[in-house]
Amino acid sequence: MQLQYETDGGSGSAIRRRPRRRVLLAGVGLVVASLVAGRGFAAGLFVSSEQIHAENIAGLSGAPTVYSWDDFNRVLNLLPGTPSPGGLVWKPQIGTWLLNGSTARTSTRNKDANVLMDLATVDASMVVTITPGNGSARPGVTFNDDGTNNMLLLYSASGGGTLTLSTYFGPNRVFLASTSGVGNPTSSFELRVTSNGPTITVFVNGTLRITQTLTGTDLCKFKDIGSGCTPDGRPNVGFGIWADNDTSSTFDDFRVESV
Amino acid sequence: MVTTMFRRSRRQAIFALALGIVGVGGVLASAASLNIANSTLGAGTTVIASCDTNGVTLDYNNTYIPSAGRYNTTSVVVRGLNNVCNAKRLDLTLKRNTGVVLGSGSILSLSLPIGTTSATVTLTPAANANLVRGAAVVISG
Repeated sequence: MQLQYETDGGSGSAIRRRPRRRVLLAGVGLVVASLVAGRGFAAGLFVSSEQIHAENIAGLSGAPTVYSWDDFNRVLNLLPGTPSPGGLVWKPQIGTWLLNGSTARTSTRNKDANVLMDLATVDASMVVTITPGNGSARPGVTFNDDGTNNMLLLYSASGGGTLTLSTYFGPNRVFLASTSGVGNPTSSFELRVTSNGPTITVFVNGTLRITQTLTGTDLCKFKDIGSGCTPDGRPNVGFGIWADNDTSSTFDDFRVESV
Repeated sequence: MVTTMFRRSRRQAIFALALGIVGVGGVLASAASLNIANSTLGAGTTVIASCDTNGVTLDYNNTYIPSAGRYNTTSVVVRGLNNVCNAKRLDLTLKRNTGVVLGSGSILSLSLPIGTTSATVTLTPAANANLVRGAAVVISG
């Protein structure tokens, strides 16, 4: 505080005013700085007073990978030999398969009529919506099919009222499991068949209906699991739709996806 | 004369100093009232003073779209919510690997009665499930 001892020999007012101004300015500056800082703190703390919780969570959706699919919603007459929207080609097998509006069906009555898509995996889940044409129709699906009439077969009967799972190896059909009271005759139902390792599960409209475990030579025939299988190594792994002497049933919204 | 001036200047200096002290004190008081000491800052997980300190988990609801041959994520179940977050707002954004937003949804006021620790957020638009690589969750209020 040197100022109190300074004089200019006259009034001394000039010297006196300068320090007073400085002091006042310093004080005001401190206040302004404090207010600005206060506002800054307040702005920052306004967030914390709201209790924000923010979190980034990495991860996949868990949705299955769709290997191939077909909603049959296109203008084509013949199904076999044509590519599906999913990219894979429908492989001709038995029967004359047609696109009928937005569904697929057979146009002639053939025993074991079926059409396939060949995949690169023996483990997959196949889903299709089936509308049985009448009480005697037998629509179904075929899977782990090598394209030479060796397959796992699941078909419905009694207009969709029962489901039967069997192996079909050459001319020999062997019953594995069945269930009844599945649905109302001729009503549409969504059928899901999952072939995962030795286990086969069947769902109708989301409800589990059949669980079956393949054993012994069936594992060799249809899943190529283990060694010493005869035949060893399946040339193809087909998943497709099947209709036995049935031109009235229709198929829709087909897909094969990861288990 | 000099003595008078000296007294006046001293008063002014004291007054200015007092103003400054009041200002600084105001800042400290402001900070104290807003609980700055209790807030935390971090990246990736909990960011700032949170009603949920141990994080949440997500379950995705996916629906198959027959005409597209793929699944859409239509909603997300947020699990592990703390009841303290009740009545707060929850925003969720799904992102792909590039960070681009795929879909988002909000719950304006969480309903978390005792025993309830999850809430479902409906997404608009539904997201292509194949592209989802993560989500950002923000609870505020």
